[in-house]
Amino acid sequence: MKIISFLLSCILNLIFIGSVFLSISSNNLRFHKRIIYNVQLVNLQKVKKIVKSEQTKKKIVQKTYTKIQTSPKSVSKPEAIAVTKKISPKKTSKKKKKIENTKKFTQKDIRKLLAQIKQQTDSVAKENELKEQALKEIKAAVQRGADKGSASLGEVYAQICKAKIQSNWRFPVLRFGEHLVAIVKIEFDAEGHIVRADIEKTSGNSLFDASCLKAIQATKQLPPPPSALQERIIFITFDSEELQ
Amino acid sequence: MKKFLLFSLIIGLFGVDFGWAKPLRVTIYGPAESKIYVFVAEPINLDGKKNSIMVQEVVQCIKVKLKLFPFFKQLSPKDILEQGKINDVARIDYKKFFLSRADIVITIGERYLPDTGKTRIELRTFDVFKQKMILGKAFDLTNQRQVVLMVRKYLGDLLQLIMGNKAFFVNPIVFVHKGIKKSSIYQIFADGFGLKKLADIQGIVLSPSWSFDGEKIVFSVIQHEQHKLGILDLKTGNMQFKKLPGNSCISPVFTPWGDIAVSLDFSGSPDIYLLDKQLKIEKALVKHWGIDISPCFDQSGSKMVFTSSRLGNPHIFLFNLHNNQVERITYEGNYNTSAVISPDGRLIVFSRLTPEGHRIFVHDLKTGQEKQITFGPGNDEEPFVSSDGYFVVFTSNRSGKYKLYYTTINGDGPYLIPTNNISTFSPSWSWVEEKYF
Repeated sequence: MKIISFLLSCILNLIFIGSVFLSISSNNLRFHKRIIYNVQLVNLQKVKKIVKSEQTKKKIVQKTYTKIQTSPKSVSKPEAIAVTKKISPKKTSKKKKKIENTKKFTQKDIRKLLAQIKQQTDSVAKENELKEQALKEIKAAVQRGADKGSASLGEVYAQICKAKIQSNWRFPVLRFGEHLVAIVKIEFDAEGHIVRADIEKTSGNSLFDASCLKAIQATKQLPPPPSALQERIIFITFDSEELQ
Repeated sequence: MKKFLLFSLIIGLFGVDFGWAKPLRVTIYGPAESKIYVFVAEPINLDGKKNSIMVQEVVQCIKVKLKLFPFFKQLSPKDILEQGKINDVARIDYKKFFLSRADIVITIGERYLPDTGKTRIELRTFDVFKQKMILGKAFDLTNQRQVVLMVRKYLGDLLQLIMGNKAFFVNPIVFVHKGIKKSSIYQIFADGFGLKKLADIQGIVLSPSWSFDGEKIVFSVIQHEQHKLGILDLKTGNMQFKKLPGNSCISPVFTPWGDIAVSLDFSGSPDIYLLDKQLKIEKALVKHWGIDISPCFDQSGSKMVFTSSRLGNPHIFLFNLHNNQVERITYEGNYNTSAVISPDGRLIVFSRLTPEGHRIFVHDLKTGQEKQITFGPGNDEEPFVSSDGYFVVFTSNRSGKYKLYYTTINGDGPYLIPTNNISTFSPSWSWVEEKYF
């Protein structure tokens, strides 16, 4: 009986010791994992690249990355403990100084960042103001056009046509100060196809006139005109002198 | 497409329904590109034989000469459908050239003339847009040396058609080559053709200048420590020297009516005087306690540009011969010299000392605008404008030695004028065609 009880107690002890060993070994594994984890945190940029390829790691790394960026408090506890344990009292005082310095640095940074943000917000506000102004102007122009029954939007369309034709216009100005002006009448269909182009007013220089017609012929197609445009005609004045 | 979408968006946003009754009007200011696209087609042998070496040389010569103009852009066969091949000049497929954006097409035809033993070269230029020939010439050549003459003649006519002037090929440039104890006056054309020595002169020759009829060249020369006026008559080949009053005789020029204006210092500081046909002082054109030199007249003789130190530093001034008024032209820089006026009296081209060296500038009298047209390196000096008012010849030591270059009033290039590696100074471009070649 005694022998049996002794054997049972041995077995129980073995089970207990085994479970303890197992628990230690599992703790060791966790420790190793933490080391790897720390390395990844140090090389944040590399991690970032790796994250792109590995979706499973992505969430974890991004979380740690964002936490570190936002506040030092959010750094994972095991690391913080490990660091504080190793630091001696003397070292901690130095560390404190360092931390103070870093705090000062971060304050400066914050100030700079705040200034930058202010600037950015100011510029954005200005841009918005300008956009609003431009919109107001467009609205006013449209309203004026509506009032007059004339063509403010037509002018916009004409400007688009102008840009397209100008890109195809080639003419060498060989005589300084020679100012040539020709007017060309363009007729187009509902889809914007140029169906006819005639010199309405000649410049007196046949080469110049030809260059204007060539630009139109090379353009071939204009953007489809607005449906409200009753008369599908544009008079384009070709002026040899650039605006200065 | 984006623009159209934006346009549609604007319409959508405002939901306005317009009924535009008036036709639209818009103005385009200035072309997108200042080029003429040229395609030189492969030569056609009109006898159905293989092309000769001579005709290949014609093609090469045309291509080389066309590169001398900044407003021509040559298209290669790769740019044209079917390599731009033309089999019959009477049936040109203009569409493929138009699609390749060619403006003009030059064709070369070759035919052997058994009766004379000469080779006929037929040169034609076609306007792709108008789909017609704009210039056609035939030349009977006896040897290859005539090729360059033919090409210069033909391209001169083409320039006349496009620019209204062929000064580039027909108006000669004179310049000075300074040797030991003597100087030489040379003549050349802007494309480097026809370099020839006109005269060897003892002493140092300065600032040669053409007469308005292209028959004489006037210059100043320093001989035995004396300044003299020199005149070279190209018709007779005679040279005349004249010692004028005073110690200096600087920058003589012909007036449009055949007199000579020159800067003389017999009354103290140099002033500009007018000499009559007998080279006697007729009157003072510009007189001031400052130094007045380098006169230059426009074609009409109503304007004379000159350099003066009357305000301290040398600056450019304009003298109106109708009302005797002097107008200051340059305000920038501390050293503005060598001013010339264009034949039409609109542009003044001059040299200005900048921190980087001397540079050529153009001043537009109509708009008052000033523009730098050369940018070194080294010094760009002594500009002279061509009779078409488009090209500007000047000297530059950008390569170490003073050589001739030309640019345009738009500042294109510059292009070197090959002068057999001799040093070149004081170029002057004739405003008329060469008479005694």
